[in-house]
Amino acid sequence: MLEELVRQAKQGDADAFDALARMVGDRCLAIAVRILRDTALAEDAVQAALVTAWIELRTLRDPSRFEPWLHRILTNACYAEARRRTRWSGGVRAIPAVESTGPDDFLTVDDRDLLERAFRRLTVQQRSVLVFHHYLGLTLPEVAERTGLPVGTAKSRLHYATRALKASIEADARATPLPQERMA
Amino acid sequence: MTAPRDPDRMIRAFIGEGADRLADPVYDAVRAEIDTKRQRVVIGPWRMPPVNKIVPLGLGAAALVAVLVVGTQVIRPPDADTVAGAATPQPSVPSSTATPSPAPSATPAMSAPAGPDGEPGGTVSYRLDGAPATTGVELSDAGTGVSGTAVTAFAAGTHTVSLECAARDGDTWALAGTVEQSTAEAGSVGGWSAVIVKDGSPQQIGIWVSDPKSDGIDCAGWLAAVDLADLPAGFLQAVESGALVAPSGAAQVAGDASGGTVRFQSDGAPATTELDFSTEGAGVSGTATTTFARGTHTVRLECAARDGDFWAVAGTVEQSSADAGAANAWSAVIVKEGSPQQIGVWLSDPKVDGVDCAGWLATIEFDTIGAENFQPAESGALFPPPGG
Repeated sequence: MLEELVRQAKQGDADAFDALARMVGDRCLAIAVRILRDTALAEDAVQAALVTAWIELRTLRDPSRFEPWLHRILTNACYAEARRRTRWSGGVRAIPAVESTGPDDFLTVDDRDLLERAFRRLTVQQRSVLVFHHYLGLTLPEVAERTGLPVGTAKSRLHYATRALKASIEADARATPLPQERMA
Repeated sequence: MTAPRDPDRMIRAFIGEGADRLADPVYDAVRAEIDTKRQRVVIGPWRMPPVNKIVPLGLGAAALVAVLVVGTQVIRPPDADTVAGAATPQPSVPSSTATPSPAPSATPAMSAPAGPDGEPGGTVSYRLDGAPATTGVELSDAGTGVSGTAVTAFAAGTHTVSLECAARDGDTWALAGTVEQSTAEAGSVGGWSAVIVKDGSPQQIGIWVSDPKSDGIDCAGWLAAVDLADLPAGFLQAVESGALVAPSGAAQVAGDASGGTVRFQSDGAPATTELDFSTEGAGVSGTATTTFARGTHTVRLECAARDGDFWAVAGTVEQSSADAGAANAWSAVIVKEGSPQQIGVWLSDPKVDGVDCAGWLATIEFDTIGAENFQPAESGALFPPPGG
């Protein structure tokens, strides 16, 4: 179905592309929100990516590769939005993303705040590697394809970003007294 | 007692949370935009154009022609008698102020090493998308310039180019000029187009077509952005009969137009910035050296970025005579394309842990930088890395 829509859209069928966009839009938004941590910026990035995809669609040789190809465009759109956000917001912290995916009970409010702060300290490139790996469950070569990085660079960015987040978690754990210590 | 928490699980849980539904107004906005935007047309042997290089286009069986990504590319200055490959086009680099970067070595015109002998031009027959096609080239070799006509006849009609310039890279050479007439669906009359030939046995041929011309870019400048050394697989078609002979005015192509040297005024005194770098994937490595009245400022380049008319390369300060040029700080050379190019050199505070080169560069708001922070290029030009 998706491939057929890609083929039709490649022929200039705007209705087909519209249907295609609605098939992949939610996932694009989910990726962009997780990279940018801001729903409005993520929507702008997705919109820009979809329009670019329409313009460039005829350069896509293999319709079955549409989603990886689109994700690469989306990643670049996220980078552009992140740059714009820097311009606009200065030191103002963006409003956290709307959480329409139900919060995982595993995380406490404090956990989320801790991870949010640590995540925002990562570069947008590091975030994108984390999102593609942990959210979409992609392998490093697949992550590299979507981010336009050499595999080795994707691996090192994943390692650095994961280490940075873990360091924040561990630092928080050390700063929080254990129950028995509080009791004492 | 509280069980120890698993950081990996926490990270996965955190990343798993967030919005996952795209609002309808966004779909509506996309639809509104695509209804007014034309797709880039690529017909002919399919190929995956290398990112950040001009998209080569072939002639197709049904309709033809196509489009070229000029808006996001860099093109070499007009009077380049050496031509660079893999350059990203710039909207306008005037010949009067932006002479070719010194990076490529200018070599005299030369004929094809393994090409056919005879008068420049000729006719070849080949197959395009399974149908017979011919390209005939008539030209007069005007010193380092080229003039003449290339007519390609194919299944859907003809495509005629008034030739104006030529370039060569090894055994691959190209003739380019303005489309005079074409049956191309995309209507590229008035745009650039090139006949690209790879000498050998047999010769191979391909046709490139562009979007409408951009101000400030001449034929050589446009052709410079075509990487003759790295044509996409499937672009060239084997010649079945005939041969094309390169003009002696096909200037040698250099391998990489990235980098270059530019001269400008800094605090009323002459200054020069030289970029010398190579790229690997999304990374950049090399140096940027700015020489000014007080001394030099050298940056070990690590990353690059682009935003509209601006692009920048950045890295770690290795050595500096500038007041603010602290070693181990970040520094960037920022270029605003235009007529002439505008050059600015930026310095950071000392590095902050956890912020890499790209992260630092991302914090610079290119289009809000005051004009006073840029200096117009007086001569020379800088060329960004592909994909910066």
